Amino acid sequence: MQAKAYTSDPISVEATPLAGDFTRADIEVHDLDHSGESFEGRVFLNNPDADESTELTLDNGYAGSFYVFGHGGCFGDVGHCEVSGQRRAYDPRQSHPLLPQTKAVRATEALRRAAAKGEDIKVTVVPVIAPGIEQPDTEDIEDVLKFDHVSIISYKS
Amino acid sequence: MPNGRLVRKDVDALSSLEPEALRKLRNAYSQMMQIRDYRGYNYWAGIHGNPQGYCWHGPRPFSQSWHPSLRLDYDLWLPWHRAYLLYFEHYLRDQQTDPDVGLPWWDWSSDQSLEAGIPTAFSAEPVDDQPNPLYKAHIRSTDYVTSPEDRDTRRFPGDPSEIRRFLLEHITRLIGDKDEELPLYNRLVTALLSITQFEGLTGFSQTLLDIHNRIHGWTGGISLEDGRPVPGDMRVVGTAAYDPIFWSHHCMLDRLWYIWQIENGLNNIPADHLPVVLQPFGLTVRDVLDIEALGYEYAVSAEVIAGGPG
Repeated sequence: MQAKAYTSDPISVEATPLAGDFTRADIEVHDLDHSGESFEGRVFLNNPDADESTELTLDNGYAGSFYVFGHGGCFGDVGHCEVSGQRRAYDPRQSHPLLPQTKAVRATEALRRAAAKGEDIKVTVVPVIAPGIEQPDTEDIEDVLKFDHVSIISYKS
Repeated sequence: MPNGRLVRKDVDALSSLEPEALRKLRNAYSQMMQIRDYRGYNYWAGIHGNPQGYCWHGPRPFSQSWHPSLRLDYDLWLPWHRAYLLYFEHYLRDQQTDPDVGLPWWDWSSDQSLEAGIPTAFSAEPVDDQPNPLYKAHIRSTDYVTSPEDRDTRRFPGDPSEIRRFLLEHITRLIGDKDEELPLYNRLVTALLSITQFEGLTGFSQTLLDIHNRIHGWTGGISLEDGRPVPGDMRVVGTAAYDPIFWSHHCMLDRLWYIWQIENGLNNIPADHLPVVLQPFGLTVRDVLDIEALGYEYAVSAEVIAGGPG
């Protein structure tokens, strides 16, 4: 089984600064879960059918990738991997290691190409655990890619 | 050792130019791996992920007692691992009669690594008819709660071309095709030095973290055993530090940070990070910014060419 990919709702180019001039643009993936398998998150634009065999080219909408160094599951006693949202005041201890992470991909050229077409942009993230190696049919693998939202940030220098 | 400081060297240079130093290093690892208390290899490996879980990988909030309601994101993975390596290295040197041999760094961007993958120092087994402690360590079933039966660490590295692929991706995004004719290592350093800001999602720290993550994943790899995918230990935060190559991978990262600090400033890190104590070492971020003050430096190799006039 392959891990499930994610495709965003269409993002209108016209209503965003992507319609204008920009010198750099990043795609950010927010509050990413890193409790399970390590994997590469390959980001494509306007290619919702992309999968782990899709060639990593601009023509295929490949924008770049990030890598999640996973914790590999829960190795402790009951409660070990529960991330509490509350911390009491004056608690000097480190925050929980499994607090979600945010990753960014520099995707200037890919976003420029996609924006130039004037169409809406769909962001697809394909999680690749181990290319060519079939993963077990479990919920942990299928849902390895979990995050809160995607954003596109553009800069003009 | 210049001014009493330890020189950390390139592991491939050790293999070819200083085999005796490499043998001493293997002996030190071997001795440390037999110790079962706080001085032992497994104790120190266990500080990273399983069971103690102290490692930092990416920005996270950290409540400070002087700001009870303020939660700031602290990106401490580089200073934390610098302190971690420092302590581990001292315990490793305790096992040496000659304390000159420090942790070597593994340049995964060198032409040699891009061709052959894992350096022979870590892949040869056995060496001199003895088990190579740099090839694998032993995880004991008592090391952490859900550790399976006693087992050796496992490593299933990928194709070296994959390292070239993701390093080139970072390089070209940062500097395009600049210096295309130079070796990948040189281009990587140029690319990293082009980032002047330490913090931020695309700052130096997070960019290097992504490369760090990928080398972990590549080195650990995955193998099929009885049709079931089994991850290599370097691929998993919890067990990565048990694999002996972990320390040399992080030496390379620490070295790249040092090279970046020379160019961009030793103190180029958010000011609010400076007083943060790196647990469980008792050092603050400020304490670990200058590696010379910590007693080490980096070189490909160091040897006496000839004696002086006397």
